[in-house]
Formats: sequence, structure tokens, C-alpha cells
Amino acid sequence: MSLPRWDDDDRLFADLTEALRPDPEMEDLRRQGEQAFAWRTVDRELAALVYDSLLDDGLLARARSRAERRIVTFQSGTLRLELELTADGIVGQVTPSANAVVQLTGAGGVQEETGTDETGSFVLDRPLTSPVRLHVIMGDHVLTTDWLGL
Amino acid sequence: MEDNGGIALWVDAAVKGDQSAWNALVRRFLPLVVSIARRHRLHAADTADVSQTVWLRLVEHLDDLRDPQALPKWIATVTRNECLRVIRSGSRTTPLDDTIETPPRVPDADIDEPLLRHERGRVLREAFATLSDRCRTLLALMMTDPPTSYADISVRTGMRIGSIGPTRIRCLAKLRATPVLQRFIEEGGDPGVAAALG
Repeated sequence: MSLPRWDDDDRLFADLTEALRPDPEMEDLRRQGEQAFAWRTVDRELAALVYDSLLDDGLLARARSRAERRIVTFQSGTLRLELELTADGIVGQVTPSANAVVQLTGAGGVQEETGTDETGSFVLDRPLTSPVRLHVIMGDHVLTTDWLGL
Repeated sequence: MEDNGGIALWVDAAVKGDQSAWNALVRRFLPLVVSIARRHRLHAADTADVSQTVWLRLVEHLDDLRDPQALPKWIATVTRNECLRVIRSGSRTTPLDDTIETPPRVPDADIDEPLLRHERGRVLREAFATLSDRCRTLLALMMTDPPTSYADISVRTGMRIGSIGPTRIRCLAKLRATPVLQRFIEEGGDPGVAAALG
């Protein structure tokens, strides 16, 4: 690691100039990052993203993702939520199958709500924004997924 | 200067619902997120998408991070994955060079540099704020692009043209002598973050 060469006046002045220069893009990103805190949920059951075909380096998976079909899996305990994302929308399934209401939420609020069929499957339109998350509401039990970039 | 103990306190306070502690974490680690996005050659809109996803996901995983030293690596990993996601999904806003399908993994040593540059910036801003009005005004005038002429500086500060150069030297010496800068130089940058990344 290199030490800052601040024994030199011009070098110190150049670093100071850079440090004081406003960066509008960074300011926008900072505000956006700070606002993410408003989405903090307390006492929720979080289903973590455990598989994403886009991040799977296996050849087969890459071929599949090239076919514009993305597979994503969320898991919490024994409950799994599998999603297939295409240009047309999202096909999902909750396993073990459950009678649930599924909400698609973006950073602007709920975008769509649907119900599962007897196999735990559901269909959603293509999300309007990125990232999104799903709430799977099974009576009193609500499963909330990680945020997913699209 | 906050160390990893500071980061641990921020994480702890943010888990308990303290927005300002969360803001401090965002300010601290945003340069890391942006530097990784830039290495993946993402444009502004894609960088914003990646950045937002990283922070939204971190909000929900803060209380899983029992070891705050793991935070920079956690953020770096999620950011890299999100960059790959943008590149591979074909959803990026500006098509770039198609021959670059998968950018090389960014070695952690390379992540160090932008973060340390950010640290230097933070320390310099803190030191600058402690200087006299006279020094801050003079140095700020000299930073403009294009540079302010000595004649203009003289008019705006009431300083004789002949004393502008020597005053700049004195002001930079004062900046160098501030405790915050001296501590930073003695510690060789920011060992706390370097250790966390290492």
C-alpha cells in the first residue's frame, strides 16, 4: 500500500482539489442508498436468494440464460420459492405448495398481486422496475424475499 | 477517524433503526460499490440499479452480519454479482463491447485502491474544514477550473499578489500539520479498512 505523497505541495494540493470536487452522480447514488433504509423490515421471515442462473458459471446454465430464461430460487427453512423470469413475465412456484397471496413489490410500492393455484404456482406480469421483491402471504405467515435486480 | 469498531457501532445502531448510522455506512462504502461497477464498465443508469439493489439487500442482511469486518467483502461480493447480472441479462442500458462477456474477477488488492482514495478524500476534507477562512478561501480560489488569476485572487481576498504564493505554501503546511492528516500519514493510510479487505 502506498502512502500519500503529501510532503510535496503540488501533490497535496491536487489531492485536496480532487477531494473537494462535488460529484453529482455520487450524490444521487448516496441519496438513493440512504433511502433504502426506509425498506427495512422488522420481524419478517426473509427468503434468501440461493440460486440465480445468471450467476451460474456452468455451461448448461449459461446456455439456458442465453435463451433469455432466468431461474431464481429463494429459500427460508424448508420453504422454497422458484421463479422463472422471461420477457413475458414471471412464473413462480412455492414448495411445499401453499395457498398464498403473492405480491410483487418495487421500490415504489406494490406493483401486482396474485394468488397461487393448488400446486402453489402463480404468474406475474413483467415487473415495471428493478429491483423487485416478493411477499408470499400465507394466512398469518408472510415470507419476504431478498431484493432481486432484473 | 473511525476504525472497524466504528463500523461495528454503525452496524449495531442501524440494526436498531438508526437512519444516521445507516447513512454513515452508505457514505463509507458507496465508493467501493461504484469502483466495482466502473471496473465492470457499467454506465450511470446500470450503476444506479446495481447500487440500489446492493443497499436494499444490505438493509435486510445487516443483522446477519455479526462480524462487521465481513461487511466490505459482503458488499464487494454482492456488487460483483449484480454487475455480472446486469451484463449477462442483456438488460444494461448501453451495449458495450460484446466481446467482453465476463470481465475478469477484481482481485481484492485492486478494491483497496479506490477505497483508500476515498479515505484520503475524507481525511483531506476534514483537515480542510479546520483551516482558517483565509486559507480556505485562497485554496478554493486556486482550485477553480480554469484557474483564477493572481490578480483576481488579489482583488477577492485583499492579499497582495506577491504574498499569494507564500500564503499558499503556509496554508498547505497548516493542512499537513492538522492532527487528522498527521494521524492518517502515521497510520499509513487506513489500516482498519485495509485489514478488513485483506
